[in-house]
Amino acid sequence: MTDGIAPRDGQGRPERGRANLMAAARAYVQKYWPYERLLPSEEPVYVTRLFYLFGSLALMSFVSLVITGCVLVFKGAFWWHTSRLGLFFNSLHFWSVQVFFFAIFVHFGSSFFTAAWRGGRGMTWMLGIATFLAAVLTGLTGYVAQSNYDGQYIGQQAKDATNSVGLGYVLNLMNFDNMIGWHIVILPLAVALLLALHLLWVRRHGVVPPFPAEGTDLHGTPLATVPGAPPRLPPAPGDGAADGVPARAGERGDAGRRTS
Amino acid sequence: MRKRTTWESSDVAWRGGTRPYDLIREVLISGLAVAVVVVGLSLLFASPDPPPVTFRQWAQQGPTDFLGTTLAELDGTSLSATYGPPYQGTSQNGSTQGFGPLSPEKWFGQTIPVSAFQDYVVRPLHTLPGPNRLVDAALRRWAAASSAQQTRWSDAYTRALSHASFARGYRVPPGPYGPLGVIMPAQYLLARSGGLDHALVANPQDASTWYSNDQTFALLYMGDSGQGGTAPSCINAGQPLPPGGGCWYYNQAVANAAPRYAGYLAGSRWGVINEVGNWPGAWWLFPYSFWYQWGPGLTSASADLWAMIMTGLLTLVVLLLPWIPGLREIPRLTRVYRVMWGDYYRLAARLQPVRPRRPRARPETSR
Repeated sequence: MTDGIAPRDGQGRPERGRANLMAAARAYVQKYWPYERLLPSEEPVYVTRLFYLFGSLALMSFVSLVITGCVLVFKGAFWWHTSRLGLFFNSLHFWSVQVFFFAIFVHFGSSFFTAAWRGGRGMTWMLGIATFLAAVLTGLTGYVAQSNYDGQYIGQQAKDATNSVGLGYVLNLMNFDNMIGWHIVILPLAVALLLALHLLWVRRHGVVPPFPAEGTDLHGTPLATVPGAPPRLPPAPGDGAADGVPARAGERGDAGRRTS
Repeated sequence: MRKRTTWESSDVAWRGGTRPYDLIREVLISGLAVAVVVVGLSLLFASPDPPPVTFRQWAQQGPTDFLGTTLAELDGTSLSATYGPPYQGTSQNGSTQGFGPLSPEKWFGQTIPVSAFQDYVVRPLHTLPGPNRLVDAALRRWAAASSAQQTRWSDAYTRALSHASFARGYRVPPGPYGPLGVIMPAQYLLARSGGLDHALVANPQDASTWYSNDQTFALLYMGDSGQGGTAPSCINAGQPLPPGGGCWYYNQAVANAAPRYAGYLAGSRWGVINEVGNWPGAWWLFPYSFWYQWGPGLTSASADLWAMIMTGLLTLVVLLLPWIPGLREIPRLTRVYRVMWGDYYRLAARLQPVRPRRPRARPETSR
């Protein structure tokens, strides 16, 4: 690294043989998440339909789950059995889960049918699936942690599955002490982390473009033009390296403000 | 010829037109929508909170089932006494799930030790107040007896249970029950008093469990009800409860009786994805529950392992779907995307030049 903060020798030259991890990390982040891409104020012309909203609906349901979950924690594990207000917050938590998984399934469906993994977006897809898996485990441990008949029956029934793969000891569905730790600490952290990475990767590559329309390439550019025809879909100012963002070889146009 | 650029990474970013878009507004609107829906549903439908079942209720409503189950715990024939890993070692006559050498239960072995006799009966009975030399002596006599002797006592007591009376205190006709004549009434009375519920979770004899919330012993004991859910008295949804409270624990799941809610296990095999009453359950577990509906999931003694393996494989397929030829082409072939991106394709069609048609080689024949 030869930028401003890379280690320098006595003559002010970059020091050799010592990689500066922070400088490398910064370069990586600057390359893939410039502010214009991280916090975009424009989206591609094809982002118009309602199905795009279900990703953020899932995100906000998760926020709702965290908030209502915190309130349930403040009052202890038996509040919702004994108080109307407690039961109301339990209900908010319960319905947030339902909305969360509904939104996730619609988001999954729309991502599948638009083949959202195209164009180097495989990691975004995998992070989404991993988020769902962590969420499923969070849901299961939550059902058991209700400390009611649901918890008894589901824990006693589902233990055979965790036992069968040898996980019964670390994920003992009949042990409230064990369940509550997984449900309110480990698994929500995993969901939050995976969700954050998923969102970062969505920002990094942008929303997947539609399959090419008849006679255009993947960016809406007509493949054959005739005199007098409109040139292409409305272009936006600035492109790729012109924004001062280095582009990776073979990914010309990967960088730039219109990549959201 | 145009190259079909579908999966290559050269098209990572869109280089076509953009339009102003406020992501923060989108997130705020989503948050508002979630709040309205969640608060609305909560006010309208609340949420299920069926109270837990207790040993006290079990002994009260299904005394014969409770006592029969306790006998199975004593002679080591209950489901949880013969479960195998992680509760018993593989050498202790336990069943183990596995397909050939693929048996994770066996690999990990006994990690949550459970001795039905010690953990469900001896330790709880030791919490009885006052001098209980009679009970202590009976427990010692039972433990010291040969297996054949235990079976004789146990068989005799099982026969007696069908003539037991609970109306004015617990009574069985006199018979050759050995120490069971003391142990069984003691365990029954402990359960009726509510003491067994606590002794199984936070046993007062063991200060280190004072804070415990580990219901493993209690739920395993309950799960042994009705011979582990296999007794003829275990009902399906819609059937009336059997007289005498047989298979009490499992029948609670389908009983149409307050404070339980009907329909918990309606469609029985889908098990954990259901919820009491009409509330939606954990329906998102269907990619897992699906594997119990057919093949080894229905018949194999290793149904759980089968379901877990198949769920794992399915997960792997979905995770790696972008790289699996054939599967990754489904979206392109089904063309659902034409509807989803209808706006875009209409816009693209409007902006595209009209290509001059090539003159037809032959005039079309009239029909």
